[in-house]
Amino acid sequence: MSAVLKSREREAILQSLRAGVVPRIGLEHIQVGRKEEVAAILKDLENISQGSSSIRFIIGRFGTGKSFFLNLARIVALEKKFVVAQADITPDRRLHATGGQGRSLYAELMHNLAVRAKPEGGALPSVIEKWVSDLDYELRAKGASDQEVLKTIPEKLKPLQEMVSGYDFALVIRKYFEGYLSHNDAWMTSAVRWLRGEYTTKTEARTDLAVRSIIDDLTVYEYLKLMAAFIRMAGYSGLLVNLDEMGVLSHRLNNTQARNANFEMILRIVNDCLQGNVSGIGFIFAGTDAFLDDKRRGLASYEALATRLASNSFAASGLKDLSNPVIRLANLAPEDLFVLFHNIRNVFAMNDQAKYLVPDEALKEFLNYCSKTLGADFYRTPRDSVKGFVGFLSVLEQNPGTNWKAVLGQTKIEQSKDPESEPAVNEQAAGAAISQATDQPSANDELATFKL
Amino acid sequence: MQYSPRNQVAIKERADHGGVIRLIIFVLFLLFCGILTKAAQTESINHPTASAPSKSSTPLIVGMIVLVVIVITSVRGMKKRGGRQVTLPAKPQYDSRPKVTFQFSTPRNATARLEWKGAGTTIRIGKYVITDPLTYVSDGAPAENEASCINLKLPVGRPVLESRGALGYWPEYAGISPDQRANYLSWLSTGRKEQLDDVGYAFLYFYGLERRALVDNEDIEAILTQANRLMFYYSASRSFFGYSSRFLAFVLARIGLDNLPRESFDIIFQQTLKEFDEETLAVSLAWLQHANAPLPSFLAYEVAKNDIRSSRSIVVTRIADHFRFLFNKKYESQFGVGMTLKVAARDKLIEYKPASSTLLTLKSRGFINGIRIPNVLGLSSQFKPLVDIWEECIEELKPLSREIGKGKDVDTREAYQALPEALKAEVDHPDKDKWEQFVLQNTTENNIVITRTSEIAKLCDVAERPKLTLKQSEELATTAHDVGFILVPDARTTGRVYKWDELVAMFRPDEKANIPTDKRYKAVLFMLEMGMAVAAADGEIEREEVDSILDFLKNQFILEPNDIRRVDAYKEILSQQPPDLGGVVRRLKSLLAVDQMETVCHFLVGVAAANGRIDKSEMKLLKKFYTVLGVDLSKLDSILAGFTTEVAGPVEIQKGVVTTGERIPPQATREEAVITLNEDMLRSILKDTEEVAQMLGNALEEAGDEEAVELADNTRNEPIPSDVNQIASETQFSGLDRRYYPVLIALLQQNEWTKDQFQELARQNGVMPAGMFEEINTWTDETYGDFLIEEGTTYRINTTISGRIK
Repeated sequence: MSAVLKSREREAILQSLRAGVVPRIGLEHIQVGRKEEVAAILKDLENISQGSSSIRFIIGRFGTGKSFFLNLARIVALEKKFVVAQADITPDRRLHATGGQGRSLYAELMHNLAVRAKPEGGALPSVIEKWVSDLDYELRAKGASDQEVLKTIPEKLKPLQEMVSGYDFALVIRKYFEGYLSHNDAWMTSAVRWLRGEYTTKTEARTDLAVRSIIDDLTVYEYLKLMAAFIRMAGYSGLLVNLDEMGVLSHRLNNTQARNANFEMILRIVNDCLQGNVSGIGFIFAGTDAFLDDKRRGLASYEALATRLASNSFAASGLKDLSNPVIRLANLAPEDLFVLFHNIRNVFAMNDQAKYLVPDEALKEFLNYCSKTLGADFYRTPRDSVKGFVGFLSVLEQNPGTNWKAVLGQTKIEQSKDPESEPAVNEQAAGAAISQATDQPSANDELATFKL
Repeated sequence: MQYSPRNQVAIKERADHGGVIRLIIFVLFLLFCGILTKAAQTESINHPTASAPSKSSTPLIVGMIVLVVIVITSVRGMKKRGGRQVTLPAKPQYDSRPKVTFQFSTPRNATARLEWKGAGTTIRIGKYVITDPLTYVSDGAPAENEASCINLKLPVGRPVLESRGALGYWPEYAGISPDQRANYLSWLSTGRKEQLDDVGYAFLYFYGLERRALVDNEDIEAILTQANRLMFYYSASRSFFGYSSRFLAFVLARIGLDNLPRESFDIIFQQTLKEFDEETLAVSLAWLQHANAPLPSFLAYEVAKNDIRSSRSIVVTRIADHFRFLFNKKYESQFGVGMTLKVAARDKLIEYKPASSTLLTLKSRGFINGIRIPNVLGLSSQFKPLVDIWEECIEELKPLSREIGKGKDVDTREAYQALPEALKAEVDHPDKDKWEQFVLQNTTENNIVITRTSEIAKLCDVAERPKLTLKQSEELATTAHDVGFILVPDARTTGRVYKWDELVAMFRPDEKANIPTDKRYKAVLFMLEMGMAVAAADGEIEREEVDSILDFLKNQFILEPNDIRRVDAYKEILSQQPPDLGGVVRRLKSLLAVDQMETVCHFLVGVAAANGRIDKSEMKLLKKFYTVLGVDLSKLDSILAGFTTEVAGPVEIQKGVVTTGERIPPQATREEAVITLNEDMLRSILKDTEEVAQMLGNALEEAGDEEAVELADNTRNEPIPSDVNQIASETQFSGLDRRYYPVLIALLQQNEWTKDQFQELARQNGVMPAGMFEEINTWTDETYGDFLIEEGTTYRINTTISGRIK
């Protein structure tokens, strides 16, 4: 990875950290520690690029850096010529459902599909065009006509046709290229729409693209495998699927049946990946420790998964076993936090020591200040302190000549709430609850409780 | 009595019938009462003066009493049944849904004896004649519960076609429908090998075998044979295969490892068992260890496969045959007949999980206990070499797996080239016949084919181009090697690409040829080139001169026989196509430091003097070499001076004839200036050649690698229009696919592009916009550290990057 900090990376990093979210780019500039964990992910990526598959559960307490780690894996994967699909699980975007939530997750994954040149997502057309364009170029060099190229597409995609829905997939790719050749944008858009899982009825898909199937709740996983195979054919190293906020499945779904159905899907993925039934695809699921360990609602409640994901009993007293699919993110040590602040200061100064806004002493002071304000949570959840530190440096940057000590005295760090303490969603009422949430202010909304 | 659903149904049926009868009586009675009352009313109308009402009301009173009795009886009856309504159907229902039946006790009237019908007996049930049945039968409901028992009293229907799973999970002969019984008996009577719609029938039969072997402990031999047969025929069902294989393993362990002869072991474990689980593996290994027999390769494969240290890879399943073959080959080459097994200190306990629900009950009551056998798997360290072989196989077969994954067939050229060497030796190259024919038609008398690269390229379907790419060049050499020939020069060794009509030589090696890795070989080739350049300097290459150079090199360097033949072949090429002196010098200058040049020059003098003299043209050439390589000419003079013995010059002998006057004697014929060599000096120079060879070998190796990288970068695709090709050779575009050169040049012309313009630009250049965007941005990110094109409502060009590219 390049160590040069680009200005767009600087802005993205600071903007995201200020908002308490993980930046999508430039994470390598602020990454601290997690050496073994990153090495494990790198090994996984290497295996995937060799045609294998992998699965990882990133488990950690709220705010310990799961999302950060997930994004870091995404960036590393992009560097290694992977295609990355990333999404957050929500009550209306799940691995298994019957009311369109599964398809919705697939659509989100495809919408966020990223390649190195399009790290922010929306790379599905790029992936298709890379494959089609290579084929087109190869055939035209041999003097093939438009029709011959079109005819060759399904032949070349024959390996995919052996998979579920592979035939329709090949037809849609062909339609995309046909649209390109005939300057018919509608066909190209329809093809991309179909591949993103945005068709809700078969009739509509048949009218637009002459295919008989669509991507629906039941075929989401099959299409992910299909997409992974296609991506490999297009010359990428593989497909990495990152799913964050997995705790929603365990603690926001009240319906046991719905929860178990999702766990079954996870089990299927785990089995496929560990048994080598799938190729060129990797999954990283991030969730809180309750998602994994809660014996009443978490994965531990599902016996088959509990045994597969059980930690190695020998990996105790500080030892790690990264061959297990579960990676537990340990809390950051004070030294790690110091380095993190140091890195953030570097980002502000664009790696120019002469432009440091505060001396090292200020970093230590800030650590002490956070420790006093946040107590033990300071180490467990660096999010709040990082947010505070970025705010602290922002003030100093915008007010040159200000004494940092004075600013530090005025800085307030607020502790954020654990989202999993929010009430669970009833399966049947999930849809209604979501729509209501957008219309009515919730009980926690400050405006609703505003008093003079 | 314990709970039995069937008994309960019977009771409920009776209760239900009683209620219906009472209801009918009650309705009849009401009708009767109605008629009597009507009659009484009619009578009172006809005789209004009658004063004895008792006569007309008597039937009504009687009716009321009967009604009360009936109601009381009914209520009592209902109380006895707990007040529930009986709704269960009287007749058992057979549907296609799987159902689970537990019956822990026999029916009340089950008294018939459970009888085993073994080998040599025959059962006749209706039209079905079953020979050697190996099953239980009973003449009525059996006193002992056994799912597989054929109750001869039960009705048998006609065979029917059914959906899979119609029998249910734990089928019982007594519980299946008459038609299903017909299916079962038909299958039994036709040898128990016909195709089954539902493997449940095989399971039903298997339950009997289980009981006989594990509970009665009889007829073991016949049962093992039968179970083995069933496993063979119905292994498509993983469930049946699993149960039957574990059954075999358990029974074998139970009867004792001594009691199984080798041939039976082979039949069961080598011929029938397709897959092994921990138990079957444990028993087979225990048997081998007990018999002190080596581990055969097929079991070594299974051990490695089941070892948790072995990687799970798509390679193993995608190209299973290749994988197994390679594994066996490696195992046999490492362990010969097989590794000797050792056993862990503690025995292994083998537990049996019966397939039959009847036996499950018996097991829970302690009828079937586990067996302890020597624990070979427990000493896992002895299997580490197997895991290593497993991993090696995965690594070596990954290229082939990738080709197959791309949709290539195993008998294509690409798939062949991806094979590991060990497997290549086992199969012929798909193009072998074509090559053989070509060699047959073009072989010269010394068994060498001298031909043009173009001819070889055609054999590999390489399209014509002025220079082949490095990949194509290497492919030619590899294919030649794969079909059993050696191509000289070998692009894999030299790192240089072939020109389209360059001369190459090909010959069939005496023994298995490898890619020459000896640095001395490379040096010899280069020295041969230099020597030939020197030898050709006088305008023609004399055969004698060439041979002397060759002999000199062969004597100086001890090469492999195939390498010697390679050098001979190269000599033939150079004889027909002498090397360009300028080219040789340029290469030397690029490879060697200034001080190393002097050593090389020293060596060249030795080469020139190899025929015992240095003639004028060679002298001229040596001087040229010294000048071109930047070595002081005086050093050449000093070497030559060291070589030279005292030169007396031409000797003129005059006759001592005294005559008048003196005749001028004719001048003796003078040879050209010849330097006679100092042998000692020559030997010392020749010793230096080893040093030169080492030096050249190292330098050539490094240069070859660099050249390979460079060429790989530049050979991604076919030619592009000439003006762009010009740019292609420049470094700033290196690494980018050539087809994007024109579009990149165009993009750099303006800083902002609308979406339409961008798409139009892509179309004009025959590429697709999103693909182009990705390709160019990935390249600039890799090469210049940032993206060139920024996407928004328009496409903006990053001027910092464009400036750097320009």
